[in-house]
Amino acid sequence: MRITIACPDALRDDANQLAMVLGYGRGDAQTYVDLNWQDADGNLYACASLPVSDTFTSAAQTALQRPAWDADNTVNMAGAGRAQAALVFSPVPVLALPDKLTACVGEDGPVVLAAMGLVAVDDELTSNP
Amino acid sequence: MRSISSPLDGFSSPFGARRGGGVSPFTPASLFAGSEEGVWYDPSDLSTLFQDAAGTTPVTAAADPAGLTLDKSGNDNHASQATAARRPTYQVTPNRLTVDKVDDRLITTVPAGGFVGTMVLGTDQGTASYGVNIPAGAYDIGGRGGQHFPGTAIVGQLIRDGALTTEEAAAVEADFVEKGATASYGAVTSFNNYWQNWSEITSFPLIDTSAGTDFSRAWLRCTSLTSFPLIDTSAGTDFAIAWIGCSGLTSFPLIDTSSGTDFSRAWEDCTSLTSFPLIDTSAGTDFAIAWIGCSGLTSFPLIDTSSGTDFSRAWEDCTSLTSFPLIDTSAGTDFSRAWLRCTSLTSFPLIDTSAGTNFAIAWQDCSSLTSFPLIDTSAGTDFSFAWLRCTSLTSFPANIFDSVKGGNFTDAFTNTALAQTSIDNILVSLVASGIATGTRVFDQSGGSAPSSTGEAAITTLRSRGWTVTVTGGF
Repeated sequence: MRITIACPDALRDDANQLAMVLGYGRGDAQTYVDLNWQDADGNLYACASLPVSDTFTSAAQTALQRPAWDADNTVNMAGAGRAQAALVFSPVPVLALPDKLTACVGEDGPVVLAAMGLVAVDDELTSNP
Repeated sequence: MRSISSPLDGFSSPFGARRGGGVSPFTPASLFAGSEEGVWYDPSDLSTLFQDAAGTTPVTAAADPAGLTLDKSGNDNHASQATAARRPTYQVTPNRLTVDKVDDRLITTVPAGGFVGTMVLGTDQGTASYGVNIPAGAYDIGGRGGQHFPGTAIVGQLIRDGALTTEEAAAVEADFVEKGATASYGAVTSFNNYWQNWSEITSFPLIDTSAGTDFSRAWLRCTSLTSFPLIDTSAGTDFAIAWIGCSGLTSFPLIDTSSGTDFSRAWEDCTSLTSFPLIDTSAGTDFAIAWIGCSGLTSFPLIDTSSGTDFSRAWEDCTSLTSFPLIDTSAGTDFSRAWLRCTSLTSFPLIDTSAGTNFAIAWQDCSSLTSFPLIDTSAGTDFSFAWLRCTSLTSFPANIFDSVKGGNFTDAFTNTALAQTSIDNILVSLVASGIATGTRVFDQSGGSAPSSTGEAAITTLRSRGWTVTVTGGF
């Protein structure tokens, strides 16, 4: 199963903390970096798309535990908790919201993002005024 | 003993390798035998693939993530991805690294001096060789920004500092195809976004694009291309934004665009083009912003624009155009900003604008125009700012606004050089239009004040609710 996640600008820091908890290590702090997508209102999002196990969604919604690799408290668990509270899982694409971490199931990432109402920032090129 | 080289050295024999010696099968590694810099990634070789960036967990099965692929060129320019969500996925039949075109990419570090040479890329949708100039530093393998890639999977990728010969590139392509890459792009219908932002490409190959219908955004900001090949675009309908920002292109070929309907923004900011070919645009309806910012164009061909409806901003900032052809604009409705800041235009042709409704800002800042033709403005409603700052414009025809449908002439003739006869012509024509409802604003400054004829027209217009400002303050 593949999920595609839209992270609004304001949630990036917290969402990267959550990505480290659910992922593998410090490298996952770079999961949401580039604000390459935007919604119809111009809100910017960093997006990720990845294959996950069938248990991922339930794991992502249970109480968070500091990962075993994080002996030096790299992860801001409070931030991860805030991101988890903002997490919305959907088996079908739903519109991304600027105050939610929206995760939708679908095999084609760009298609899912389009169905979430997002376009690549480059798709909204602006010309010389 | 002096060795004798052969042009076939390093290539496989058509008869196969001989037992006990003879010609060895070609391997891309041979292209780095002289310690040439570069990279070679080979997903068919599982010993080079690891799930994590540190290279501790090997890739062993389909659907494993690929966090590290080792460079087989001998240069140790390995490509890795520390973030799990951004890792491509290994798949089999053929062995390949699939990319999601959202965020997946491996990153290699190009060493000091960069790579100036050839890139051969074998994908699930086609295989091709490109001239490249890649600066030192981080370089995305698998798509620019993780989004733009000509295919959905890497079957093989080789970049060599130092151009490959045609034969060498063909041999690498053949090797990638043998490993499962699709040889030709001939089955691809949508090239949307394929090479967007690939600013490292210095030459583009003559690939088979004959099935392509959608070329939108295909070469957006390929800033290092100086020429473009005569690819087959005969089935193409959508060329929107196709070559926008290709600022290095000095020429453009006579490609077949006869099926094209959407040319909007196609050549925006191709600033180095000095001429443009007589391509077939007879089916084109949307030319909005098509050549905006093509500041190097000194002439423009008599293309067929007879189906065009939207010409808004089409030639805006084509500052080197000195003349404009008598193209067929008879179906055009929107001419807003069409020739804005075409500062070198010294004349303008009597084009058919009979269907035009929006002329706002159309010729603003065309500072070299001295006269203007008697175009058909009978469907026009908005002329705001249309000739603003046409500072050399002295001569303007009579009766041009006799049948207009709207009275928005806000700043239409502000800062112009109209002769008295010309401003009189305009004002009398506005009276003839009979406009007495809706927006009724007219502005002129610079040039001559109206004569008593023009002043009488102003009085009539004001009696119909117009706000009129003219030189001399009447």
